[in-house]
This record gives sequence, C-alpha cells and structure tokens, in this order.
Amino acid sequence: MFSNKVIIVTGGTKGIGKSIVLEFLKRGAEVITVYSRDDSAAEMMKKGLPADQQDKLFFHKGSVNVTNFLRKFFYEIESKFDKLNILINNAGINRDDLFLNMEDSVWDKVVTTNIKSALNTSLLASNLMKKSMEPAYIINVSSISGVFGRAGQANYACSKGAIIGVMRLLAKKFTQDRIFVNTVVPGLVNTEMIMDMPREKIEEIIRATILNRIGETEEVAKVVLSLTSGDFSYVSGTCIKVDGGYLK
Amino acid sequence: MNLIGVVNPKNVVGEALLKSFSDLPGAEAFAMTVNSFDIEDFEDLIRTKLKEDNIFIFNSKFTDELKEVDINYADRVCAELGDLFRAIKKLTNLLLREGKKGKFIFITTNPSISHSSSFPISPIYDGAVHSLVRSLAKEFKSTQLIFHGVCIEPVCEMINESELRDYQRRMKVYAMRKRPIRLEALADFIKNVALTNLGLSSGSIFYIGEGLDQLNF
Repeated sequence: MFSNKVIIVTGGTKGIGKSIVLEFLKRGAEVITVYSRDDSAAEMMKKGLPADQQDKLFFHKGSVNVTNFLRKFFYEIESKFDKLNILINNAGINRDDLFLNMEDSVWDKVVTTNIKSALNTSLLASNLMKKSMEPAYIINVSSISGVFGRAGQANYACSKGAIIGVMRLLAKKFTQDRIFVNTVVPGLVNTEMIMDMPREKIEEIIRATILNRIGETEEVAKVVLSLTSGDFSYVSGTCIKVDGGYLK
Repeated sequence: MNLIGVVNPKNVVGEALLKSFSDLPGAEAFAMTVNSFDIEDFEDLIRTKLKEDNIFIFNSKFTDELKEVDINYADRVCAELGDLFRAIKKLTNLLLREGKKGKFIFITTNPSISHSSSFPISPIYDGAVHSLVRSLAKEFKSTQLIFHGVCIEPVCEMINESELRDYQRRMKVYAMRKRPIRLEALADFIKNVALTNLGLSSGSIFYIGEGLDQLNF
C-alpha cells in the first residue's frame, strides 16, 4: 500500500514515532526519520530490521525546531527523492513542573520546540508535496493533555493544543494542493514518557478509560497509517483520539 | 468591590469592555498591556490596586494570521505565548501571596467561522490558550483563582457592509437568519462571565454563537 511512497517521521527512533516508522517500512515505504540525540537508538533500530527494510530507512540527526537544519534537511530530501508523500510530525518534548515553579526557559523550550517543529516542518514539507499531483498527508501527533489540559504540564498542554491549531490552520490552507492534514491524539501510551509516572497515577488514568488499559504504540501507529492510506479521502482538519475512551 | 484589568485593550472589543466596566459602581477598571508586566515596579503598582475580587481579561491581541509559507510565524506565536505565560505567572503569584480572589478570562476567536469573514484568526495561538486555560484550572483548583475562555465571533462593528452581507449568506449553514452580534451584547456577555461566580466551571471555554460545535473534532 505504501510502496514507492516517501515518508518523513520526526522523532522516529522511540515510542510512537518508532512504531509508525516500523509499520510504514513493513508496507514497503521509504522512510526518513529525524532524531535529535540518541544515536544508539537509531543504530539499534536499523540493526533490528530485515535487510530489505534497512535499505529503505534513512536517518537524519538534528533538531526540527532549528530553521537552518530544516531548510538543509528538506533540500537534501528534494535532491534525493524529489517528492514527499507523507509527513508525520511526531517529535516533541516535555519538561513538567508546577506552573508557579516553572522557569521561563523551561516554558520557552517546550512551547517553542513543539510548536516550531510541527509548523515549520509542515510548511517546508508542503513545498515539496505540492510538486506532485498525488494526494499528500500531514499527521500531527498531539496529546490528550492538549485537549483536556493537565495540571503540572501547562507548557506541554499549551504546545499540544497549539498543534491542534496548526492542523486546523494548515488543513484549510493546503486543501487546494491536495494535502490532507489531520491530528492524532494519543491517550496514555506505553512509552518511555510514562516511565517516570507514579504507578497510582497510571492506575487512575486506566480506571478513567473505557478499555481499562493503557495503549500500545502500534495501536497509535495503525491509526496514523489508516489516515494516510488514501482510504480516508473525506477526512481533513480533524482530530482522532486514540485514547481507549479516556474520560468518556 | 472589583478590580478589573483589561490586558491589550486596543481593539473594539477591548475598548468596549473597558467602557462597560468603567460604568460599574464600586469597580475600578484599568488598561494594561503585556509589556506592563516587564516594568520593574509593576508588582508594587498592582498590589496597591488589588481588591477582594480581581478580574483580568486578556483580550486577544494576536491577530497575526499566517498568510503564506512564513517560517518566522511560529517564532511570533511562541513569543506571544511566552509573554502571556510571564504575565499570568506574575499575577497568579501576586494574588496567592496577597490571599486575594482572582478570575482570568482569555478571549479567543472561533476558527469554525473563519471562512465566513475576513476577521484575522490564529488557531495556533487560540488552541494553545484553550489548553492553557484547562491546565491552569486544574492546577489552581484548590485556590481562589479561576480561569475561563470566551471564544468570540466577529461582531457587527468589526465588519463592513459588504462583509456583513457575505457573512450572513455563508453563516446560513450554522443557523437561520444568522447575524453577527452587536459589540455591546458581546461586552455584556463577557461582563456577566466576569462578575458571576462560575468557580464550579473553572476551565470552561464559553463559545459565542448558536450551536457551533465547541471542540469541532
């Protein structure tokens, strides 16, 4: 389904991003993933793949919130592939703290990184997507915190709410260019991000979830793949919550 | 006795709010800009003004709409959100220290109707503010501080005659005989949100309009 498709996944060496990359590779896509720090995670990921998939996975190290890096990155993608079918804006950071204790620098770091990476990557990707007559897809990965807000995460929630706004804005802007823009909103998912969470807190969220469990990264990835498969041809500018029915 | 600070009052909505609150007996309404919060003696200045109930209305200043592929746009949104964060932090700190009640109201614009008028919108900024309101309501739940959003539509006074006709035609999809509301009605609504005890619904975003989908997912 995705053979001959060129796909960028930001933050694709861990967690949800990694699962998205692996699912696309299984279906024959060429995937470029951008990561900022962990070389060993990238290396391990590649080693764990079958040989035919290894040839289709490309890594770029850098920060997607840095404009110069992004410009250079897209120049290289254009030179190498001359097209882009799908962009998954998954990269994001969190630095949780109580609002009154939060340092200005912590606020700025989280808000700037998460908003700039989603918006600027999409804007530059759209230039490449517009070159092709095929439909293209941008999926932003937000968070349930961006929908409901969360105490102790004002900066992260604010940035993830903004990412939903990025989707709303770009879905309208890019509609003439056959670019579909949607957002996936994961609930509590089994990633490194929840490792520091107290067990009672996790149990509390599970109790408030219809499916009575946390989600797996593959479950989010499969929704992302569905939205970009072409089967959802009348869906743009929408949020799909993949949260097991949290607070329903 | 109320103290009402209207932050960023320099548009028709802000001016109407200031006027509306100025007429309120026993209240003191004053204009602030986000830059006010950078002034060194800001805290001393506002401490002298604090009353039992203190209301701060953050009028949406951010009407900078993304037109084309503008790589600097995100920087402008983030800078605006940074200023907002610093302003709220200063005020919440001050109110808690002084043991006063505080209500924060953030005005944003409903993106659902953006195709129906030329009124500039920024769903990115507004989406961020809505999530912030919900987060702060949860975080300050056990204090005397409450947070609301009011998501507005363009009012009559913001649009010209031809835009008005166009707006009415397009808005038929939402409601019969849809008309933009009057500025005075909007100011009254916000005044009611400000002056009514809505502590039990802290974190709510109030949407102006008939049956517009609130979260629009």
